Amino acid sequence: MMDQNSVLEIIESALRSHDAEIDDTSDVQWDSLSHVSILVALDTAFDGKLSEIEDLHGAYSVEDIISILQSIGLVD
Amino acid sequence: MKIASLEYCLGSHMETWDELLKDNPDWDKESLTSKTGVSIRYVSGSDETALTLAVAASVELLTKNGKDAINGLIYVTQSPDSHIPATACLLHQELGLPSNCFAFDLNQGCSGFIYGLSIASSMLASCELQQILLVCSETYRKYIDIHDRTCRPIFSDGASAVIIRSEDKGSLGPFTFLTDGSGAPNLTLKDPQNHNDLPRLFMNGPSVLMFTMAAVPKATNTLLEMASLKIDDIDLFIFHQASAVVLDNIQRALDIPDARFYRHVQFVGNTVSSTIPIALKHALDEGVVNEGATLLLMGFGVGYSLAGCIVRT
Repeated sequence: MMDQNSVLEIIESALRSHDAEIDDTSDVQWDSLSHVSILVALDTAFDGKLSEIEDLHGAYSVEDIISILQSIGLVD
Repeated sequence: MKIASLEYCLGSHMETWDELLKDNPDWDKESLTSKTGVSIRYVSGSDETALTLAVAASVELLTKNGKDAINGLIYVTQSPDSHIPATACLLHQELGLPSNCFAFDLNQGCSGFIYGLSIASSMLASCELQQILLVCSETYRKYIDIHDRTCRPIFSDGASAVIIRSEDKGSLGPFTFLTDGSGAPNLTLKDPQNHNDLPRLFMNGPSVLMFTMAAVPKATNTLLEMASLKIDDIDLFIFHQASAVVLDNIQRALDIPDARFYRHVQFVGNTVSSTIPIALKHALDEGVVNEGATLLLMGFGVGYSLAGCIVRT
């Protein structure tokens, strides 16, 4: 199980590659291209477990992503 | 039974990144290039259609191979020049194929080439035919807005023509298929804002990516099991050349070494149903595929639809 901070670091790292402004990660917004980067980064970190989770491809906020990962027991 | 010969034809205009950025100065070229992997795209001109590209590819092929022994024509397209009659009939006429030849359209996109192989192999066997001409052609670019950052950097227009021949060497199959219509809204044509315009291609990139990440590795393992093969038994994997990020994830999930994972998207872009035959032709021309090789081909995408097969050369 991964802790929340690690998930935030993964999202921040994926967003930085698109030069997205990150003031407060909980409020950051991103577009579909950045979302692809986040999904790929998270799927790599979770050894391919995320590809089956359909809810994630519509989760465009940090809060939503963490909530989904917590609901399936991947994040504490 | 084998894939005997292949040719292709691309849209006449080579579209560079300079052109994309001129229309869209706010686009991040580095980011888009790393995600798509596409260096250059080919776009059909105003006087080109899926049918004209298909004719060009087919003429190239038939000039080298002859047409009198062609027993059937399967035309794969989602950019038909004609709905009624089938564009295959128009293509048949343009090519001057024998009159006792069957001809029909097959409406599939990224999985279309494998669908075509499946039907061709079945008809060759069941109808005791000799040769089938399988042609794939798309002009998706006519449906893509110049400011569409999801679609424009990826797609190219192109056609491929392949002869499948009944002979003692080689084999086609087994085949595996997957259909999930719940994904239809994620890659589709939408009505234009101006009713005089063509409909617009819409793609929900993250959703389509998640579909490929979930479906393709699983289908690959299913296909290998059907053929009693393992990853290491495959000499070359040629997946639909959707984009770099899709190929990266498939390769990572299946742990396929670079030498056996063929990539061609960087040179041509995503030509929908023609990406696999175009990539296969280049693999053959480069000597990457030898006689007696075992290949795994898999197309996936719009539908959602997926089709894969084992090919022995």
